[in-house]
Amino acid sequence: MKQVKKNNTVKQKKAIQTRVKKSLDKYADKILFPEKLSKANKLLKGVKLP
Amino acid sequence: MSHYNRYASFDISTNATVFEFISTGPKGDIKKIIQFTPTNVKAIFNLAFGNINEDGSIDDTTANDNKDRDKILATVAAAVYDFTERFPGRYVFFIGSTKERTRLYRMALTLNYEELAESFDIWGLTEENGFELFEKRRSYTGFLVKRK
Repeated sequence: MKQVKKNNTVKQKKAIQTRVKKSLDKYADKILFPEKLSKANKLLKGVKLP
Repeated sequence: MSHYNRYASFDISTNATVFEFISTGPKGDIKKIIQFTPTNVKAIFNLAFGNINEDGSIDDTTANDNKDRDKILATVAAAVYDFTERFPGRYVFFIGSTKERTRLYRMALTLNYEELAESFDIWGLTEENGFELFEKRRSYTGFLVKRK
């Protein structure tokens, strides 16, 4: 029972109000941060998933 | 990341890969955008965030100086919770745009480690060993998390 209560408290802490905003869909198929993605791909090249 | 306050809400795209929120501070209201993008490695998504400028362009290098750095980080962390709750099989990878920012992320992970580790497996990327389980006080070039 205590564990359930603790989990609920943790969930509440993490809860954040979200709302779907269709105008954001224009970004969904674009790469907004190409330099960072390129850097990530370089770092991930040849690395095994843990 | 309960050590930090965060913004109360954000907007998301229909496919839940783009998140938007407003940073509020002495410099006014600044639109922030977060994106999870697939990398070349299956199941790993890159996390990046930055400003939406008034002309609609995106900028991830400018420091706002809006006195809400920790609040922004906590809000980005909330987006990671949201994204990985929707897509629990996906890994989220993130790096700083500078060494200082990567160090800042390590400090935030360290400070909030116990809470984050309840929900996530967390790894750090090293040049020598690839991914290894995150350890406080160890330096990493990037970070990877996956929902437990």
